[in-house]
Amino acid sequence: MTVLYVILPLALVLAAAALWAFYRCLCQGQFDDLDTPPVRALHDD
Amino acid sequence: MITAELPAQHPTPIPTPASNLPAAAPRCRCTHCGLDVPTGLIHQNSTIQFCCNGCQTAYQLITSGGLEGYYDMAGSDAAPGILGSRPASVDADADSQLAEFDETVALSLCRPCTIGQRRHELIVENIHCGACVWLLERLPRLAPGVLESRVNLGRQSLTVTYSPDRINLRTIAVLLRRLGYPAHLAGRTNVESVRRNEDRRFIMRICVAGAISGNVMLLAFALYGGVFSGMDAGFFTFFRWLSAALGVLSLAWPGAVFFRSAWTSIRARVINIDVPIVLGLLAGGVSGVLNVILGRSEIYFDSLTMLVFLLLVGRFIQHRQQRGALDSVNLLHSLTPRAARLVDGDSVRTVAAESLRPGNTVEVLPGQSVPVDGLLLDAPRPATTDIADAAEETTAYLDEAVLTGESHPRLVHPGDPVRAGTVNLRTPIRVLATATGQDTLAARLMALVEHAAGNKPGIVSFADKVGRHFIIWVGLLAAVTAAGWLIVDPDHPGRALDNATALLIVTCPCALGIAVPLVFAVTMGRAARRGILIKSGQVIERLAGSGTVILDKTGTLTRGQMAVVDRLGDPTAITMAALVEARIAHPIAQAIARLVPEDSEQPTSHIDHVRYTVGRGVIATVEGVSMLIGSPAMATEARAIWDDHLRSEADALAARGLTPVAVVCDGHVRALLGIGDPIRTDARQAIDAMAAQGWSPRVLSGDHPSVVRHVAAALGIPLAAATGSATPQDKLTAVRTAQSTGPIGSRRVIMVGDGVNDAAALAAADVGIAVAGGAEASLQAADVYMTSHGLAQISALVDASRRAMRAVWWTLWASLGYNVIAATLAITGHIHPIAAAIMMPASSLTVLAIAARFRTFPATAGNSAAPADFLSAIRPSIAPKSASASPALAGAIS
Repeated sequence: MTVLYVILPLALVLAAAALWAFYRCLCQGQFDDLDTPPVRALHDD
Repeated sequence: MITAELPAQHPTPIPTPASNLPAAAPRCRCTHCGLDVPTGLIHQNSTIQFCCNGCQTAYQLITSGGLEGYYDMAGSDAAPGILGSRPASVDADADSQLAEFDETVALSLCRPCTIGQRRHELIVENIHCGACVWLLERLPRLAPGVLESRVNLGRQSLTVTYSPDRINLRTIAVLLRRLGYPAHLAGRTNVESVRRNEDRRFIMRICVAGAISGNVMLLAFALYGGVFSGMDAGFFTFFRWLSAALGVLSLAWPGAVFFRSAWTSIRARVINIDVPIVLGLLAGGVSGVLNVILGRSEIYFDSLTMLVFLLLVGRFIQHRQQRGALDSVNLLHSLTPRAARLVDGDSVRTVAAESLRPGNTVEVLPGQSVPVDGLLLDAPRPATTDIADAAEETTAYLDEAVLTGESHPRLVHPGDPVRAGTVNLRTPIRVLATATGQDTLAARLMALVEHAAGNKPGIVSFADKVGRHFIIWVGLLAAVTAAGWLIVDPDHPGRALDNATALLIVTCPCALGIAVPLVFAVTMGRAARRGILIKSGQVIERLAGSGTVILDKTGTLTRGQMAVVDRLGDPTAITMAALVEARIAHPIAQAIARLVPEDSEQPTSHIDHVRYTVGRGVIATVEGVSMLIGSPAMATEARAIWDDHLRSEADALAARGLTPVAVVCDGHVRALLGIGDPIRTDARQAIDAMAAQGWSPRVLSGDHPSVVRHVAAALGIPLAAATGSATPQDKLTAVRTAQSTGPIGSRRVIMVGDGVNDAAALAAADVGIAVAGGAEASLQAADVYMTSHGLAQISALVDASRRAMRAVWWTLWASLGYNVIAATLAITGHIHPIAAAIMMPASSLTVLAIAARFRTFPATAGNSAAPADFLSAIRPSIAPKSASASPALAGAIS
């Protein structure tokens, strides 16, 4: 079970990586408009 | 989701084009907009019907691009009240609406994009649903040369990218207008990018807080498991250290918002809701870290990180809701036009309004607002040879309602002063500028507004008020707990400390932080769908109180448009008079002309020898009958024969504040018309309803005192509470007086108005309500903006506010119940982090359920989808805009 000492910090590093990815998306403006995309998703074209 | 979101406006199902057979339905609906088609325009045996040319043009445009899907979508989505957006009438003065799209002005507002292309952001009216988004984003199919078009529902804007070699911005604007989506060029502001970054930081904080909260929860579960089934000491310490590290990170990064706000409030010596929150966070954080280092007692990092996350979500909802309403108001309206037509020698060119200087001559087309203060010059002679126009060649009618509140357009002659912001109604005029920019009367009034808004008496928000009591009680309880445990168990001072800290953590006012913004957000969202934009949640608290409601006459109690209020005598004579007046471009003449509907099938009478005297009346020959339609004085001078009954009635009309008009046929006065601004049918009922809610009505208007008195009498308002000829200063004084006199607890003032002259009073009032078509100044000063006229909306809003406050109290009691249980456990020393971890989400869920289920506005048919309401409340308000703004108002808006 001592593997937990390694795996847990590793899981946190993964979480940090996900946060960083989210941050990148945020900077690209993907979350600037939160109203139109749900409406747009209903259109098939 | 959309179907559930917009049902309020659709009491009746709207037939799809396929089922829209005139034979099947006696009421024939327009294929484009879904409104009734006038009988004269129905084409037999056709499935496609139009109520006007505008709709037909829009339909042809849409189908030519192969976009018929719009109608299916609009039908199934049940777009607000109407199928397609009703196009603004494609009229002659449309041209003046498009001045702002001139190349030179537009170029300075271009957004960054690829070389050889141009990108502009347009603020577009009437975007309300999925079908609108669908159609507008398919603009490239309708307009070759447009490369991309993207809608932003929240901002009500459309970003178009086009190639300037193939199409210009003006053409795009004309197209949008024909489709029923009038567009305005969005100004370039620094505020925008500041806000965008602010939003992004907010989302990032929520995301970090959420991620930490989830991870700490996992660790906490392992620790709770250890409590019951035992755990290796090494893992125990390791998990606690990790929890502490993540917990501190959460408090220090996303949670810093609360610490900063609490610090500001302490320094300002005004305790706000963040102070008790921070107290709980701080107590939990510090004791948790100490306990981890010392390896003793319990830690609460799971509850703390969850708290930070939930509170941030609450803040974000509040923030977005407020901003949405603010944006919708600010982006669409401006008092003075952005572009002006500068007369330079023989030519006229469009320039940015800021570049104008005193001494310049500007041309103002009908429907446009005047960009400068100045003097009226001789208007260029109109090309038409219409007799009525010819008589008016050197005069102009200006709608000064935004400045003076006066509903009658003012007749101005050359040499008369003209104010910036007033709307030119009839013929093109030229104005010699005497003051521009910040020196105009309108700009100075705006400065007065800002001053009044800055001096508004501080009103403590509900949450802050409760928070203030909260911190005193919780602080006392914590001290008592610690003292009590020290007495009971003096050998273990740590235990006293633990129990006091636990108390501070479990009683952290989480529900207040989430429930209040959420209830307000839900109310604001529902109000927005009724066309009421509320700028801040505090408005709801104040509307739930009682006090005085000060009403402006025009547009609120009355329709704000001249109409025939009373008619006496021979109906045939009146019809003939209406046919004559249809040829005259005077507001009173137009009011009489409206008696005969344009599309009704009247035998075309032979009208001759129309002669028109400004301010008096008109003389004409109709079917050989010589007619005079004008003031009683004019009739008397023309030696018309009056019978006694009509003569006394004429005086009675004048005494009622109406303008009497005599209809004379062959020397006999045959009929009498009373012209005025008719009182709205819903006004009386709404005033009574508001009085029952504790708001006593007052009328304060810039109009003539006798008119105001009669309106008040008709509505059951005591004459003492009706004042006419009120100046902006009078209105401001009235608001201040009402705020400082009267019984304590009912000194609140609601001010309802629409002009710049109301703006200072709107800003000073506890709740300023601006109604549609008002000037920018009043919109900025007001706390509430209504897209439709009428008092019923205001009384519904007051009612909804009361319900909302009741819901707030409910959530408060519910969360207090949980707090009492938790506090009892903490004081008696039986609290465990597991209890806190269960109770906190349970209390939050209860509060959310109450916030989602409470009723605000009276339910309309088919509007019972509370969960959808709740979801949509989280989005910023998307206001249904009135589709039929009058040209004058449209001019004021653009």
